[in-house]
Amino acid sequence: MSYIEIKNATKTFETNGTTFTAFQNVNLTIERGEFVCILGASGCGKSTLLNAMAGFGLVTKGSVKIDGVEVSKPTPKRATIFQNYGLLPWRNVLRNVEFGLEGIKTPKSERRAIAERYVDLVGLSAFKKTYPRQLSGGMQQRVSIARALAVDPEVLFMDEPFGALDAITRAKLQDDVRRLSQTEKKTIVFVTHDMAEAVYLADRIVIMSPNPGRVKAIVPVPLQGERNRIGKDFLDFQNEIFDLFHKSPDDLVEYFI
Amino acid sequence: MKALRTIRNVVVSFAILIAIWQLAFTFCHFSEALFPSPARAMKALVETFQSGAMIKHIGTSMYRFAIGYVSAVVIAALLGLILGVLPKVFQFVNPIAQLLRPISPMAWAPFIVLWFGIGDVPAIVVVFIAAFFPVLLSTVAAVNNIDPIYFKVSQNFGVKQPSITWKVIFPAAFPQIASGAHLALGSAWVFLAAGEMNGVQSGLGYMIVDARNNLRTDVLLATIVVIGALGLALDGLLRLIEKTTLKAWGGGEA
Ligand SMILES: Nc1ncnc2c1ncn2[C@@H]1O[C@H](COP(=O)(O)OP(=O)(O)OP(=O)(O)O)[C@@H](O)[C@H]1O
Ligand SMILES: [Mg+2]
Repeated sequence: MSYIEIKNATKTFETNGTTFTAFQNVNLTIERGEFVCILGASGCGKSTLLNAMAGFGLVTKGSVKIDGVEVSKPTPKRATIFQNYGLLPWRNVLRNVEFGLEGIKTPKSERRAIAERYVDLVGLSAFKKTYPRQLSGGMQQRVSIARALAVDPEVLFMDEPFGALDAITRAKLQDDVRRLSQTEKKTIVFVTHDMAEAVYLADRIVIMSPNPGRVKAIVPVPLQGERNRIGKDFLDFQNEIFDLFHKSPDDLVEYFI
Repeated sequence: MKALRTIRNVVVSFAILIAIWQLAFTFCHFSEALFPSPARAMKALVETFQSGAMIKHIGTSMYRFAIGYVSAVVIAALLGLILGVLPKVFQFVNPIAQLLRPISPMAWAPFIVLWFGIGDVPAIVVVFIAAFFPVLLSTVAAVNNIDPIYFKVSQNFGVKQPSITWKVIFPAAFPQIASGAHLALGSAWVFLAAGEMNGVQSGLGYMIVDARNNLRTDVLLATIVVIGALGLALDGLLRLIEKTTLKAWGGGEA
């Protein structure tokens, strides 16, 4: 049994009488400790699928199980990181990281030390007393990552977490997340519409197609060890992913596992 | 530098106002008893301060205002938070609030005097009513405007009611509550003087009625000037408080 098991999952929205299918018949399994990227164009249901796993919006048909239990609501065991950070502007960096710890009822005496440790881990030691508004977007996203890691979740769900960042900051944060995924041993499900980002980060890439959203292909990333964004094997594989986008679903059977 | 320029602008604009007043006085041949000159009004202002009457009435008015305004803000904000969190209840309260809100607090004055007698209470109640509805409605609106992401994050980390109200909802709504309270300050101050024209023998509103009864238009104008200046000062004070608390709230300007 896999850690995350999505079986024949369909999600529909009812908006004033009409039914809209966000994704349909999705089958996907994710192992503990895996880094999976969900890649697809805007509107193909990536966020909706991630929310179904995180418990923010449940599937209409089929099932989503994590660790053998049907997902019913969000839990601190599985932290979600949003594109727009979701930091509390009236709390400084440390107090934002402490917010999650307050939620899981960490004793007051321990919170500060834990928060400091994770703020250090994401490289913001010099900004502990700074308020979110005074930080750059990249720094704010680091705070939100620190807040998520501080509650020691099993899974991180990340929804285009670097979508609002410039290319240089984005690359830096990608490095950090890759390093963290290895040192912290978390299962990470990462939504993106950036192919290079998916190829750089993922163990496996789930490609989705729109209208209605479905899984078009699931591709293991064959790159070993340190990934080089401009290495030949990296670019070759990125081209392969690019081609997959333009193939009709019938040609893709071989990619399913 | 900016502050200096502001002060200069204020001085210039007041000088122009007084000049127009003086010109009107010089060229329109009203009796001085009906239309006092700036000098007369100034003299009355100095006299009322020297006799201690003005200070006493200002003190009384400020006391009533503080009680009425602060209690209105606290109660309306608390109630607004509760109603904001319970939209189903607010659906029933909202029509009532919408019905009561446009009624001038002064329309209640006869009842207020009947129910609360004479003394400080009627003026306090008028101020309370004037400040209550704007703060209540802006608090409910503030709660409804909170970015849903804060609730998602709270839910994710298992932060539940009642913590969520004081850890998330109140702070997130605070800036808008503060600006509602600021708006309410102006209208509450306007109604203070009106509220003091019935059922009391003290306060700035009473001074106006008393000056009219004694045909002391100079004292009347002096009182009006004081009411205006105090209103301006209170507004400035609240602006300052708002600025410093908002700073603590998010580390500076947006
Ligand atoms: N609450 C909702 N009610 C109705 N329709 C919705 C709702 N949430 C999402 N949708 C629709 O479902 C579709 C998929 O949305 P989703 O946000 O999952 O796409 P996405 O792949 O994450 O796109 P993007 O890259 O733009 O974030 C969209 O067409 C969207 O309009
Ligand atoms: Mg999305």
